[in-house]
Amino acid sequence: MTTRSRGMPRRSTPTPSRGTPSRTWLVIGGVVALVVVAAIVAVLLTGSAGAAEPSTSLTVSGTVLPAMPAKGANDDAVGMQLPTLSGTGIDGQPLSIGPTGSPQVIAIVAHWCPHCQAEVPRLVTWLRDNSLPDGVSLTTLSTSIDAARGNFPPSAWLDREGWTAPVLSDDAASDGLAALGVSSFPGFVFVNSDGTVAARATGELEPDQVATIAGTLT
Amino acid sequence: MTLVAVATFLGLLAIAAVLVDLVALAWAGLGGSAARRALRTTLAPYAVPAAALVAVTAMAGSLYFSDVAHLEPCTLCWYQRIAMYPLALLLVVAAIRRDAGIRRYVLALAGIGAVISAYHVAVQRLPGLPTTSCSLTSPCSAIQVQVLGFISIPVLALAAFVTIVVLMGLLDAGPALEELT
Repeated sequence: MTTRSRGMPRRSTPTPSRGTPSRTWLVIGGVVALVVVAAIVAVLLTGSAGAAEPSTSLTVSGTVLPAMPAKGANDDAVGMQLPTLSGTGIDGQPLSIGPTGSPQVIAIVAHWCPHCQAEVPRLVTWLRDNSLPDGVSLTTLSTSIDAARGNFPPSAWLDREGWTAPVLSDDAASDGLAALGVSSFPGFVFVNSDGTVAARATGELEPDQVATIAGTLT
Repeated sequence: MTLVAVATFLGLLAIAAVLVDLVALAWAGLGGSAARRALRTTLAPYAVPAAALVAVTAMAGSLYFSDVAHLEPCTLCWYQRIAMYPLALLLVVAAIRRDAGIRRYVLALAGIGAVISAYHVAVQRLPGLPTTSCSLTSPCSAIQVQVLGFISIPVLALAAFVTIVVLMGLLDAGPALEELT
């Protein structure tokens, strides 16, 4: 193929020559074989996927907390009674998150979230040498669980990180997360002993910050 | 096939493509001018069709993720689509017309796409780069799919863009526009 341009001599275009027929069929066959092998391996690798997470039966009782306000605005959930989330823990045993008669911190984490993956080991390390204020318990909601996302299943991740607080598995629709009015993670709900919400926060927090807010719980 | 199976399938293709890229680059880098010439002579006829296949596969994969698996594309995903979708169309036309002059245009689009993909991978792997939390409303830091331990959607896109760049490298540089006037 050549190109002529305003009286200039013919100039070769960079069109490559055709491959030989046998080589072409070899390349096509190689590509087809690669695709078939990749498809077979993908099916074999993912055929056994399907863990017990997320929970198949999460129930919410009580009033759902309103969505978190924009940063700096008053949180209408403060002073509201915490709803009770009942379902299954990552250990397969029944577990609930709700008013317990004592102050508590509820940590909300998603297995695929890099910020949660940074927050969890930081809290684990801090809790090894420190503790939350007397009487304040720590519970966890594992939410937004999705086998297609990374770091699945959350139980294996939290176990690997040495997370010892009880963990409730949210359902596939993340109803537990919605009941707490939170839409991003990591998240924290701080609850007084009478079951009223004292504060909510999202985004990575330093363990000292968590402890400081926990210290204000009544 | 489930979403995980499709993503794994695309991930395996991406690994294969990157291995081919590395072999080609090593061959060209270590083999001297004769080896480079042999590589070009042998593979150049297949460069544009292969790049078209890569771009079409990447486009189909991204459409599967958004329209079949209903994963919402984030802002950086859209920027990568802006680079990849025209590539799919242009490369198919170039493959049919056997037009290797497409090289410069493809390099521009694929190069920009590769840079955006690399940045997106960094955003996913380095928490705190743009945000401190993950939202349900599809932020760029969220890893919506990850298979084989490390392959997320921007990793797939990066592999595709880099492969297209390497394939274009097999073609001779065509005459610049000013040389034709």
